[in-house]
Amino acid sequence: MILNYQLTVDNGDTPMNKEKLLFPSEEWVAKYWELLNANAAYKDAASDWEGDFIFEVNADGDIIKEPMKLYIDLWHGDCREARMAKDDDKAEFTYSGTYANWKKLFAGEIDPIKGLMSRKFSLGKGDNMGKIMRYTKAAAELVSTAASVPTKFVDE
Amino acid sequence: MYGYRGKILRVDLSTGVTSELKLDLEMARKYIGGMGLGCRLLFDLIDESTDPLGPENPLLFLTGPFCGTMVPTGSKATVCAKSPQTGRWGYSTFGGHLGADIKFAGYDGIMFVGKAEKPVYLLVKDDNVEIRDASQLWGKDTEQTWEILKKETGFKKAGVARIGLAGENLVKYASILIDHFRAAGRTGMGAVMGSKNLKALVVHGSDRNVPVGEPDKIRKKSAELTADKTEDATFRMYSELGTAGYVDMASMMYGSLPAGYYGVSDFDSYNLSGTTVKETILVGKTACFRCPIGCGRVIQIDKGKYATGRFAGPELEVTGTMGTLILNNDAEALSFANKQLDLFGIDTISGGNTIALAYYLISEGKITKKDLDGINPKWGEVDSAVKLIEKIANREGIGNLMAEGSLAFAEKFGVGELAVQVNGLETPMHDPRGFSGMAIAYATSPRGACHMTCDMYNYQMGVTDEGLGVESVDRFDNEAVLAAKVQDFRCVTNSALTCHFYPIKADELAEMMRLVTGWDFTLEELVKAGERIFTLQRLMNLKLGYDNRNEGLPKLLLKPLDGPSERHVPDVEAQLDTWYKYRKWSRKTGKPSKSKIAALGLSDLS
Repeated sequence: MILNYQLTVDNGDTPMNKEKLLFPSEEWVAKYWELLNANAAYKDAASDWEGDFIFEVNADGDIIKEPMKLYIDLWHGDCREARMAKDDDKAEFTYSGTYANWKKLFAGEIDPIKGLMSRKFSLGKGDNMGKIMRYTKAAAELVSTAASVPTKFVDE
Repeated sequence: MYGYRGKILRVDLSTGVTSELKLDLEMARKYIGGMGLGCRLLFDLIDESTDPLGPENPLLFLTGPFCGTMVPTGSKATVCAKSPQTGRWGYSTFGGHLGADIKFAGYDGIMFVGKAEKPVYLLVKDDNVEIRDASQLWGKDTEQTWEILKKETGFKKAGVARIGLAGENLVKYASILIDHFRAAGRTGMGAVMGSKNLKALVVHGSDRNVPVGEPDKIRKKSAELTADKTEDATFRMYSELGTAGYVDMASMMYGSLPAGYYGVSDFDSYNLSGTTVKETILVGKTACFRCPIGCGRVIQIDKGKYATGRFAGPELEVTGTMGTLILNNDAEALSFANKQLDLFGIDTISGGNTIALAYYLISEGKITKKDLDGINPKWGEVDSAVKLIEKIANREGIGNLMAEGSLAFAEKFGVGELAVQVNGLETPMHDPRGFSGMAIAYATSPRGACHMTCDMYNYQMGVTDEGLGVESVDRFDNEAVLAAKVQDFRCVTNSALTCHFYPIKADELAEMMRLVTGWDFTLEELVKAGERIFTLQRLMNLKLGYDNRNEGLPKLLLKPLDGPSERHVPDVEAQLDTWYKYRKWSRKTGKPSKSKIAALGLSDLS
C-alpha cells in the first residue's frame, strides 16, 4: 500500500514542531486508538456501545485510486482494536466519504451528522440507523478525536 | 391538460346543491395546486370581516398536479380556509390516499361553502355526489366514525376525512383525521368543518389514469429518484424509525427538541425515540399513497393502564408535546395520549402545547389546580394531560378556555407572554435555540409558528440544495437569506404536494413538473413560483389584518439553555432585518414592494 508510511514534517524551526502522521496509515490509526482511549467524553457517550466500524475513504479517481479502510472495534467506551482494514474485514457499520470530505470532517467544517445529511458521507446499506441515532454524541467524539491526531494529508 | 382534472367540485352545504368549477389552467401554472392554488382561490372569497366559523368561510380540499400519478410522495393534499385559530390564512397538508381518491374521482379538489342545517357527510363516488345525514356519526370519535362510514358506504378503501368531538365543538385547533390517522392538524381546519356541520367526507375514485405528459419518463424518473433517495440518511431514518427516529439526535446533538415547556435542556428522551418504539411496541408501519418511505408507525399495547390496542404510533411532534414538553419519558403513556388526541381530533402540536403550558403554569405557581377544575399536573405524569384533552374536546370547564389556544389560556391568567406561540399558532418541536433558522421561520411563517413552511432545522443539519443555492454554514448563524429561499421552495412542495420527508431537490422537482404537466417548467420558473406563492400568502394575511409587529419569538424561547444548544439565543431582529432586505419588503409595514409584486405577477391582488 503506497500510503502506509509515516511522515515527519518540518514545520519550521520552532520548538512546537511535532510529528504528523499520514491519514490513513497504520501509524495514524495507532495514534487514533491511543487518543480515543484517553477521551473521557467518548467513554461516557459510548459507555454501552457494542459494535465495530469501518471508516472508508472512497476512491475518487484523483487523490485516492483505490478505496482505503480503517477498522475500529469499539466496546463499552473503549477502543479494543484499531488498524488498517484487510480486504475481507467486515464490520457492523461502515462510514464512508471521499478524501476531501474526510479532510473537512477533521477540520471541523462538517460534523458527522452534517456529513450524512449532506450526503458527503454515507452509512453502509443495512446499517442500523436506530443504533447510530442513539450514539450521535459518541460519533461526534469519534470525529473530534480524529481531528486531534496530528495529521498529514496525502495531497499536501 | 396534464396533471390536472380541470374541475373542482363545489358543494353548497346550505342549499345542498353541488356543481363544478372549471380550473383556470393559467392560474394553476402560476400557483401549481394545493396550498398555492388554495390561497389564490380564497383570496377572492374571504376578507377581514369573514367569520372563520361562519358559513361564509369556504373550506377547500385541494390536490396538486402529481396527485394520483407515479411521482413519489406526490399524492398529498391540502385543506385550507380562513383559520379560526389565528384569524389569518390557514391550511394544513395531509397524506393518506384521500388526495388520490379525489383525483381518481375526476376532481382537482372539493370546495365546501355554506353550512348544513344538521350534521352531514359527503359521499363522492366518481361523479355521483351525495350529501348524507350524519346524525348517527355526531358525537362519535374519529375511529368509530371511520369504521361506521366504511360499513355504511360499503367502501372499505375509500379516502376518508373526518372530525372528532373537538371539531364538532369548534375547538380552535381541531384537526381532521385522514384515512389511517394521518392528520391535517394545523390552523384549526377541523373546527371549520365542524362549523359547517360537516362530519366527514368519503371519496371513492375509479379512474386511476390521471393524464400526464410523459408517462414512461415519469415512471423511469420516479424509479431513479427513489433509488437515489433510499441512500439518503433522512429517508432511511424516517423509513426505519418513523419521524420520531429524529428524537435522539435532536435532543442529544442539537438541543432542538424542547422539554419542560421550553425550559429544560437535559431531559433524557431515550425511552421515547423511534428506536425505542421500534424495539418495544411497534407492530407495523403505514405509507401514504405512492410513498416509498412509510414513516407511519403502527403500535400495539394490549395491557396496562395505557393500553391502546393496535393504533397509529406517535410521530415526532407529539413525542415532543406529550413527551418531552411535559417531561414524560414513558412511550406507552405517550402513545395513549396521542391516541386520545387523534380520537378527539385535536392538533397534537397546538393541543399538546396548550396542555404543557398548564403543567408549566402550575409548576411556576401562576395558576392552581382550582383553576384547572381540580386537575393538578405534575411534570412527568400523563394522566392530567389525558383529563385535559377530554375537557378541551368537550369544551368542559377549563377545557372551554384551553380550547381557544395557549395564548387565550395564558392571557386569562395575566401571563400571555408565557404562551409559546407566534401569531396565535403554537410552536412545533424544533427549538430555534438549537437551529437559529427556525427563529426567522417561526417569526415570518404565513400561518404562525410553523415548521412545514420552512424546515431550516433540516438545512442547518446539513441538507443542501445546489439549485436553490442553499447550504448552511453554521446552525447558530444568521441564515435568514437561506430561510427565505427554503420558504419559497416549501411553497412549491406544499403546492405540488410532495412530502418534506422525501428529499427531492428543486431541479428534480422542476423536471417532474415538466414531465407531468407537459409545460416547459424550468428551475427558474419553480423558484419564481415559490416566491410568488410566499408573497401571495403575505398579501392574503395583510388583507386579513396581519400585523408584522407581532413577528418575533416568545419570551421563553429567548432564554439561553445549557446543553447542546450551547446557550445560543437567536438574534431575531437581526434575522428580520436580513430577511426583509433580501425579500425587498418593507420592514416597517410588512408589505412587499410594488416592484416585487409586479415582477411576480401579483399586481391584481395588491
